[in-house]
Amino acid sequence: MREIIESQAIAEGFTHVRKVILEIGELSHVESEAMRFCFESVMKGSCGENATLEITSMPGLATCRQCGMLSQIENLYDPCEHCGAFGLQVTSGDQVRIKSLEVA
Amino acid sequence: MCGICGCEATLNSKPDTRSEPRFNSEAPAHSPEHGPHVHHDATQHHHALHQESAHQKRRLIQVEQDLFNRNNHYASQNRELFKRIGVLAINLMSSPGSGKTTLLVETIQALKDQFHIAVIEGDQQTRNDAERIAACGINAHQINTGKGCHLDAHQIMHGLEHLPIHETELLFIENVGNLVCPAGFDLGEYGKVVVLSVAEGDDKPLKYPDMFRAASLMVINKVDLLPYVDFSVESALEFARRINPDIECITVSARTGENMVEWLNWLTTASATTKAAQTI
Repeated sequence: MREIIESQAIAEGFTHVRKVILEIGELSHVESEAMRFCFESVMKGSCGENATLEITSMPGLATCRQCGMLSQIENLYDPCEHCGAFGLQVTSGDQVRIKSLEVA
Repeated sequence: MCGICGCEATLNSKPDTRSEPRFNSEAPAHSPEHGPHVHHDATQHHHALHQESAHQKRRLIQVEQDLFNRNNHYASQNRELFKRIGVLAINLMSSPGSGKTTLLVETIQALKDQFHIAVIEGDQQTRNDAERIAACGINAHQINTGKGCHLDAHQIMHGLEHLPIHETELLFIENVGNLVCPAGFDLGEYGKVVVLSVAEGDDKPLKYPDMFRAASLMVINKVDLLPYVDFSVESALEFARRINPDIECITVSARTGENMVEWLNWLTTASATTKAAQTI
């Protein structure tokens, strides 16, 4: 995250980040609270020092291979909401992205 | 220059292909009574117009970049190299104690006369596993991650510099023993193979779904112990297929050799597929 922010600082010509808006998919590999815990330490000494971290949780969505319908899921092993089949194809909610930066 | 090790690998920081076009908008300052706000959905948030204060003028920059962007970039470079020279690269993962290294040693003994093999070993500390592999007469490079719990693509990229990769046909990457973090890091491999021993419990796929979703193949090891443990191969496979319907499954005992031929045939077929797709 720090590397992305520092690259953006060079590309966009800012020196200070006020807020980092982060999207964390509910099916992703990243735990929101762990991210909050580490954020301040990781940003120390960078243009993101003292920035606020705003996390948007993105729901997990998956398509059923049996009936083709879309379900919102919290776990990878959840069945289809419509027909009960397992083995859904995740279509979103498995990424972690820096959505935007509020800079000065 | 790479900010990690100083090498000359370049990275173009581009937004994800699924992202919206980048733009800069002048977001008016928030007046104190509005307080902080949290976005609960992915739609664009339009601020109401406020009287701007020159001291509080801010810019909103759309970034739309995946945190794994850098790793994925290095992984793509690794994958491109493997494809170009026809190397089958297998990312072997499991919890500690599943028998990964024994499986690897027995695989090497069976195939080393047929294929040029090289190994990258990942552990927090020691060179024990690399030395065990080297004792088979195979080139092995040990990566010690220290406090790190997984291998990443950048480490693999530099690890390859220590191996005769252009003469290699099978590259095994034995990842750090960990059923969580390695699942999230693309190394540029042909496929991720998860090794699950019958001593671990057949509900492992449900407890560690990310790993089993990421894997192409599940190798259930130590089947010689089935009479002594409460492990159902059928249940383990059913649980794994709830998460990943396409996951293949091979049951073996690396120690006794039971059904190792199926695993060796899987590798041989995968290698043939890789060579057929070779771009040079």
